[in-house]
Amino acid sequence: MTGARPSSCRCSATIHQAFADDDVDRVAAHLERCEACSTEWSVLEALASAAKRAAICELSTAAKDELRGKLLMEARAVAKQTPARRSRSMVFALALAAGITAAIGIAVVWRSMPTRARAAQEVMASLRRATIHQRDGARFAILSSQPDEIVRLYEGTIAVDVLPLERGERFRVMTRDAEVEVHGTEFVVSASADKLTLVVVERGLVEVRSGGAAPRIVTATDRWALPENNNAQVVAPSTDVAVSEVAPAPAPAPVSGRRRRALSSGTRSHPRQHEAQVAVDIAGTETSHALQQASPASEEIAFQEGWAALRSGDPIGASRSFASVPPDAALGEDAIFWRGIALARAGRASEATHILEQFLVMFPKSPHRDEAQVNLGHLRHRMGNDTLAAASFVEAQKSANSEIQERAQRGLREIR
Amino acid sequence: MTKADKARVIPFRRKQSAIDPLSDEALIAACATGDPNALAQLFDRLCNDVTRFLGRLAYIDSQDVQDCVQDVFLAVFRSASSYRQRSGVKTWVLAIAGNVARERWRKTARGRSVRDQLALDVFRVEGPSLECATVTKDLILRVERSIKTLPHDLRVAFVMCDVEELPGVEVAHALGIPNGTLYRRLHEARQRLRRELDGSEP
Repeated sequence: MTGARPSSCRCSATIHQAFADDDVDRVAAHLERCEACSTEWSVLEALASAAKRAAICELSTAAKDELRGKLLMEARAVAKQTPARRSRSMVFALALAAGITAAIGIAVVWRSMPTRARAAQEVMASLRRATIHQRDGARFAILSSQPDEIVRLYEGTIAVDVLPLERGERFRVMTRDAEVEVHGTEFVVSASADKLTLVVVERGLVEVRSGGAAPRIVTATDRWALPENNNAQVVAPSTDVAVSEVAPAPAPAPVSGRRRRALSSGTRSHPRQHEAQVAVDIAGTETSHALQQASPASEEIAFQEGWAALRSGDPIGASRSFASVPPDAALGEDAIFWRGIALARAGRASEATHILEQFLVMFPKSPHRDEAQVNLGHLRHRMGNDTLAAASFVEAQKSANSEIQERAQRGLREIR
Repeated sequence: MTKADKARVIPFRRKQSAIDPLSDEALIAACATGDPNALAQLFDRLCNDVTRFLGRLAYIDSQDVQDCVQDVFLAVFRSASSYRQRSGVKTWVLAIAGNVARERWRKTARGRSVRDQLALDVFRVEGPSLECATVTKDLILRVERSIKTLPHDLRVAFVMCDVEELPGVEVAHALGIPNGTLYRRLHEARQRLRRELDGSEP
């Protein structure tokens, strides 16, 4: 190469880019004031010039004519083949799409099969949005499934990793005195004697509702703990301490026959949940007052049975089970709402309307409020009361949930 | 737009009274409809560019150049419908030529030196010119040898941008890479060539 290598220049990259962009003016302006780049530029120019002047292949006229003729023949052949090839590709693509559709259809049908019909696999639908890791022999049950998944924690600690929820979906972990509502997060919940004792959020945020206290938002930098005097508070930022060390759970206790059945029926085929159930059944050797309190209450069993019936296509049975849950119980709000839905599915529009109206009066701030309104609108429309139906749809339109908004708008259009 | 509409709008037809020839883009559009005459016209326009580019890439044997040029234009004909006019037709065709040359080299001529046996009855060879006072014959031959040592991506970037003097933005589009990637490749190619020519290890 000619000459010594130029000293490096901070704007060398600019020159390289400008050279590539054929930005002659920019290059010239820079080269006038930068000696280093000017030197480098001349070297590069010499390099490119040498490359340009290297031996160049060119086809002779005769070779070109020959090649042109060949090319025309090949191109005509390609042009003729193309439609056939396209049709073959289309057939293949259609077959592939049909196969995928069939596979998805089978999966959907399997998932929507009545749970009792596939009792061998699972009693209720599996938790779709969460993975639960059991810690220190925790005892928990799944009370309901999508779109409103409720995990009932009785004793011990579980780590829950919840995927981002879709529109209209909820995920809650409940104890007797509190509930933790999440929206796509990873957190740890501890309960002792059926009381919420600790919530550690590792990612995202959760809302803790304990007793009559105002809901508390706990983010990844906070944790919620129940102190000695039972006043919930947010304490120092989480330091990722093992929860079992922070809130050791009492020793496991026996589970009565009925309660054991309830727990078993309340859990699904989720492997870790099965592990949890096995641990509960095997470890239950001592009786303690605390754990007797921590066992599923009758209303929870009823709620669970209601859910199972609803999902197995028995809305009448579901409404009966939901009806046996007292309105003031922890699950009372949900039970009334789902009872209304069950009655609606059973075709008993009048009763369903009455129950949903009652629900809205009793729980005006319920998260199910908007969904109840839109369902009420449809029921009223079905019963011929379009004025009230329109009022329900208008209320539902105020929802923050766009899906409910769309349903309400659709309902209004139907009325008009 | 129906197929019939397309056929009315796009096809290549040599009009006796037409004064302006069809643009390269129009020829590509006609190729997309399956018009071989448009391909022939494109071949007439770009054959020399493609042949020269393939030679500069230094991948293929002289006996293979003719076949390779044919493969390039057939590839252009097949993929004409994917041309989006984000780069010039020449840039786009040369990018295809780079890919064809690499594939061909991988399949048939791996490891063989290029242009060592020029077929003089087929090729007209323009050797290094003495017109350029600053560029010696020795330097030209060394540059040729150095280009052969470059990896494919760097080689294509250098030849397209520095030798063929195509706009970098168009080249990046035609190669389907971000501008920054092209500049990095170009810079690296230049540095490697300089090191090679200076006699130091790359």
